[in-house]
Amino acid sequence: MYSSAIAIPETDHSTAERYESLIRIATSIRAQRDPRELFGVLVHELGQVLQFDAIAQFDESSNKVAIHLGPGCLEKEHCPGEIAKEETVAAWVYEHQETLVLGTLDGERRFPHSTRIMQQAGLQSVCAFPLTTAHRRLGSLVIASVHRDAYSPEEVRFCNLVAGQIALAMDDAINFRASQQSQERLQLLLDLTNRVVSSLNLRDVLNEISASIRRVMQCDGAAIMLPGPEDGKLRIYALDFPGNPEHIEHGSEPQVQEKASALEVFQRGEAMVLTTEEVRREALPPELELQSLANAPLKGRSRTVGVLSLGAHREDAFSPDDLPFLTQVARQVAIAVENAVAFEEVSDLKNKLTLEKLYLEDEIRSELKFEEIVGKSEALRRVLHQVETVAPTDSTVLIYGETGTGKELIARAVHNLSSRQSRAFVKLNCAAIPTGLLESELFGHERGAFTGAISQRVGRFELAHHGTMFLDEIGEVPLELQPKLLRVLQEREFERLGSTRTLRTDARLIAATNRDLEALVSEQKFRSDLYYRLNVFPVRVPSLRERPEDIPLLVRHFVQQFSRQLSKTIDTIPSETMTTLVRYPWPGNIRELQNVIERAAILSKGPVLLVASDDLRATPNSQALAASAAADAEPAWNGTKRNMRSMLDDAERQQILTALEQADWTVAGPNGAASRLDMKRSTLQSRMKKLGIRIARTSA
Amino acid sequence: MLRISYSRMNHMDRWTLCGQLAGAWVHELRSCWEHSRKAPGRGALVDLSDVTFIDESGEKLLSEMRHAGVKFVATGIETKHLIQNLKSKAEKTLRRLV
Repeated sequence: MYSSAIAIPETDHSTAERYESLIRIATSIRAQRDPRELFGVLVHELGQVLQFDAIAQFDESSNKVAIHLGPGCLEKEHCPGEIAKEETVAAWVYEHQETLVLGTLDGERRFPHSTRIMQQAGLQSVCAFPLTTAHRRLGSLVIASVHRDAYSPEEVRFCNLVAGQIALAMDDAINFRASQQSQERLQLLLDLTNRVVSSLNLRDVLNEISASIRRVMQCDGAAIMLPGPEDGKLRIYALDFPGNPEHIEHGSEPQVQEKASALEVFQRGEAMVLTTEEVRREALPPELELQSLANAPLKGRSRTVGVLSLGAHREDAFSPDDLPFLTQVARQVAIAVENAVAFEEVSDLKNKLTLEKLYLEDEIRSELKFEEIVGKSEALRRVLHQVETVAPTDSTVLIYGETGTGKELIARAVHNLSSRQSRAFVKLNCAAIPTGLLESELFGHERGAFTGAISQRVGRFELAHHGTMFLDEIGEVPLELQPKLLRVLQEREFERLGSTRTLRTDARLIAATNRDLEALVSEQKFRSDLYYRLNVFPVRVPSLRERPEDIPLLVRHFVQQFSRQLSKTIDTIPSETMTTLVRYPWPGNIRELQNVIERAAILSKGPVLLVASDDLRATPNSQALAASAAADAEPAWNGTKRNMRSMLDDAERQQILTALEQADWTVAGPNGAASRLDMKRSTLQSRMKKLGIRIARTSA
Repeated sequence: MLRISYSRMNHMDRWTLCGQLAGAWVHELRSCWEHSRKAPGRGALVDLSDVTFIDESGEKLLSEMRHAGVKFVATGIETKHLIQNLKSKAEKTLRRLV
């Protein structure tokens, strides 16, 4: 209470009231949680129990003396609200930890700074107390009066009690603040961890966490710097400064200047707080108005991956005490950076592998030099119809045919027309792999599974997961391996050699052979259960002898291909040459035809195709070969063709029924079954009639 | 793959094809051709010298183009044969790219 406003009577009754007021004020001051606002509360509350015209408080944390002059003072407008502590009563009391009472300021020379201000304000006597608890010094409190000898010993004793209560309140507030800060910092670490594990997009993570760090560290800006992937130079990847809307675009990250402290922290790997003078030397953009800066290295598992930098507009915003926490924050950010970098690397490798796969697939196709189906024979049309029927299903397909008839091409056609076309088509020629290695090729092996297994190998069935596995020359699979193959077909599971872990595969199997599997079964060289499992949908590829009408088309096709390859112009095929080609039995089928045309194209000197007569002499040997090839393939076919028609009919019936069901049993119209099957309504109706499919109509 | 090059001569549009006229690329050529057809009174020439394969849908498009008065240039024996038989009523050849 200002002495010039109200005088408090010195009675027992009023003394009791003062102590009651003191308890109330102590409670009120303790409720104050922010030490910076405490002085304002003191000015308001202490006036109720103490007589003073002016009050000042020295705060140890800010190192300043806050002053408030009451209405009884002179020249209030000239008094600064805050002064430096040097040469003040408040600083003296704080340093000496003694109560100081001055009945008059006349002749006082020890505190010239504060004495001058007090005398200008008309103050005559002073009473000052240290604000100290049992654990720490917090500052000091000064009250002054415009009257001489304003503070009696009784008044001073009471003031000491008040100072003790203020010190306890300040201590509470400081402890509360520290506890709150600690909680906020732990929360920040938890937030960082959550963000680090929830996103692998480095730029998003950095932008989010820099805003969180700025809030908790009570600074005005945060930046994260990383070395550029191309030149390794430190660049600013994330910058969070309110009022600085500049967004850092990908690919245009500003480079950190050569003499910047961040660069030193990145190279030395040690956190540092910069003095105000050092901050001025940083040559930071002036619009940021930074007075304080702290840098911490982002230390990864084996190296420093970047720098976290914090800035503030006020001086001395950071102290060395902040560095341990800043280092912890930086460690979390480093994990995010390393995770994101690793993710980007994995992603890049994945993309590279995809491109390599596409390139290699293309290369395989071009190496085959045989990716087109050309012909007009009924036999070829029948095969392609079978392919179109079976391809959309996931059924196992067994392709029969003499050597060189294009069994692999048919297998590829099945794959390309199936829903697995975007996945791998993995092929293996069982006759081309030594028996001892076949199991390893098919199912893979673990390192050390056998002598020579120096590393783990993924089997073809694993590679063909969700794709198609083409086993050529299936008849050459040894008996001891057949049960394992059967298990893959039935259970879709297998183990790598040397492993007990069961793997699953969703590979569709297409097998091919030129052998009579049924005969092999009867000779007990091929397991019957595997045979029946493979023989779900047999497709027989006709030999070239069976489709002589396709030979001229194929000849023209190959002549054009090889002329282009050899940079020749061959535009005439003599009719007698064509007749000879058509009449030849072709024991080696299309492969042989292809080779003969290639040789002829090489030998032809002009625009006329010249086929060497020796190549096409129907010798007894070639006829025997043709007969032998036919004999190899025919029994197998004869064994299955009895069921072939009915199988084909079943498959066709199933396709039509599925389309009808999807079309809600409507045949015509844009959403009808005919449209879904890409055929004319009349054709579908004809097929339905042939297959005995009838749509039952019910009346509502 | 198919590469389609287009050039304008005095009274004619010239299309030079390089690669396989098959699958999705047939649709691409059809779009280009239909776009250019909107300009009346201009002839069109399709150069098939560098075409390595023509599938059934490609053959059908070429047939439509011939019907619309488009001229062709072909060098390979197979392509020449195909162009000569575009008007033929006989059953078309199976031509598939795998």
